Amino acid sequence: MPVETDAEFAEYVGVRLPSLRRLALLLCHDWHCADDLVQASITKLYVHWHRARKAASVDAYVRTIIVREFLHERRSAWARRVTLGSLLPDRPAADLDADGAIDLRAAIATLPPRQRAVLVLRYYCDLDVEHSAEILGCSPGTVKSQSARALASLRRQLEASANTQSGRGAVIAVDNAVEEAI
Amino acid sequence: MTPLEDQIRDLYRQVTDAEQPPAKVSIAEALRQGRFLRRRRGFSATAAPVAVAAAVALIALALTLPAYVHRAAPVRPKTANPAPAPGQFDPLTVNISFGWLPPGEAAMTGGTGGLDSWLSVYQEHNLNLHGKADANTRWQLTQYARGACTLGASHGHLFCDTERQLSGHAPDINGHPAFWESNNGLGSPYGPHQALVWTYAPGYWAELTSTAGRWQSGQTLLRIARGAMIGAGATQPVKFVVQLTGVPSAWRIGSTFVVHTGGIWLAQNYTVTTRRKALWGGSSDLGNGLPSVVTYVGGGSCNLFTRPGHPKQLRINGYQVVANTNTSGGGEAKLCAPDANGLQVLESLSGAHARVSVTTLFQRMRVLGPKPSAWTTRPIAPLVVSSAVGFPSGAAIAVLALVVIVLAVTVALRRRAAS
Repeated sequence: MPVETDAEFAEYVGVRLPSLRRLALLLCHDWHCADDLVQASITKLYVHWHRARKAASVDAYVRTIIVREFLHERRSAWARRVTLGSLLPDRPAADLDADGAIDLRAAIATLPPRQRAVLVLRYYCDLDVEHSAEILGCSPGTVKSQSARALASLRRQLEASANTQSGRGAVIAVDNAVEEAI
Repeated sequence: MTPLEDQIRDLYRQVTDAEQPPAKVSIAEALRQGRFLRRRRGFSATAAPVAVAAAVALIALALTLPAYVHRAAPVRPKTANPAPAPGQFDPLTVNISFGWLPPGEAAMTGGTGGLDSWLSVYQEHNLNLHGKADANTRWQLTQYARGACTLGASHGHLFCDTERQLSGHAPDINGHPAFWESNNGLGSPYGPHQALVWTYAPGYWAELTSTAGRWQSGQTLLRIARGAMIGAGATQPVKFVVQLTGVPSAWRIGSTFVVHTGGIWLAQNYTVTTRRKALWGGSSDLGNGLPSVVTYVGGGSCNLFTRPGHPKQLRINGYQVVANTNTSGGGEAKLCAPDANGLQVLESLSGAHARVSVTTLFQRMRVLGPKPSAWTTRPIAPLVVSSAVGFPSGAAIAVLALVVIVLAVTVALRRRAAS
């Protein structure tokens, strides 16, 4: 690889590192895992840098690497074991219905990795179904179904949590029009 | 948009707006590992067609001399550190050097073995630069083995591992023809880079690349190229901080990544191969249960070794190690010793056919420590060849050769059917 691309790569990663870590954090739910994921992903990015730099959007390219690397890691038996005890984010939300947010985080943490990735792509990266499908390497229909299942699962868990913690006031409205909204 | 979707967005916003802890991500480490992986990939891509060609040659040999196939043992190199052969470079020596560089600059890293051998000049602290293009002075000098590069018709391009567009003739380099590479710098924040290719001997190509960030004069490139020393006159040994002992006699070093420290070229990463004639550093053997080893003087952390896989904390030869086996993706076993006699040692064995475990390999490894006086130029010291532990015997080699022949015939038949 021409050596100039090393500097180009280092500059890109240096600038984008905080946003890459944020994306990884939402997928992993703890900073240690997030940093490991980013480390592995930027190594892969470097290997494919000659292709990535010619891509229409390097950000989209690296986002794809991170998501797929996350899913790949989570397929291993070791990762599945770790996931059962995965940690919540280090810092709880500072405002806005803290208990409800914690419930929601806990509920998201129990979702299968692919559903979690779908939520991050749709609601954090603001990608439409087609782009999300492209990143995940699946069909748009799969993204829709995964998204619907994820939302339905979250709703069930939040309702159960609200019922068992009376007086907390964190009742989540049930919305039956999820599929239509997707 | 449903309330739940809004809640998810809000949650994501809150989580990502929170202050981030210090990052444990290392760009320099990504570059180091990425370079190593990149070279492996390049080697593997070229190895496949060459393997088919080798198989066809083997068939011809089998047809003409059937008995030879079973008797033939690989030809041993005449010496432990053979001089560079016409078609490959010796992984145990650096046989290229810059005779002249701009003041204050020096070669810091390089690679040996296989079809190309290279040296790089760069400044480590610039790897994390933010837009300081003019501070990023770098040079890379690469030599290619005979046959590794092909000059296109009308001298429009040169194909080595990738294709270079040539923009025209350059002044001769020490009496040999030279060409400027064409690079318009599209997509690069540093603009066009400069590169020069020339034949340093009939059939052998060398390349000097400047991505200095500031535009170097062509005269500077020519001066560096004319001062470059390539071949026997520039030979320096590569030193190793560990020595593998008790390993199969067929094992040899395939390729290395070296760093210049205290006037010594020190192997930091290296791969093991069983091929007598290396193909792009012999890295096509990676994935076949042959190890790659990484060593860092001064010790380090094994945190990244703990997943994915099944990590175990062990004590081997008095050193604390983490051994990790990941069964996915064809199987990969790793071992990390964070501080073995002042060294961090990382081993990796990939592929389902490993005949020796990472722990056995470490048990048999001589860890020479951080003092240069203890380092060795003989990284492999075969002591034991035992068929009991499954090391390849003559019969096994013959069976392997047979498998290669069958594969080659299959490929040939499929191609014929396709055409």
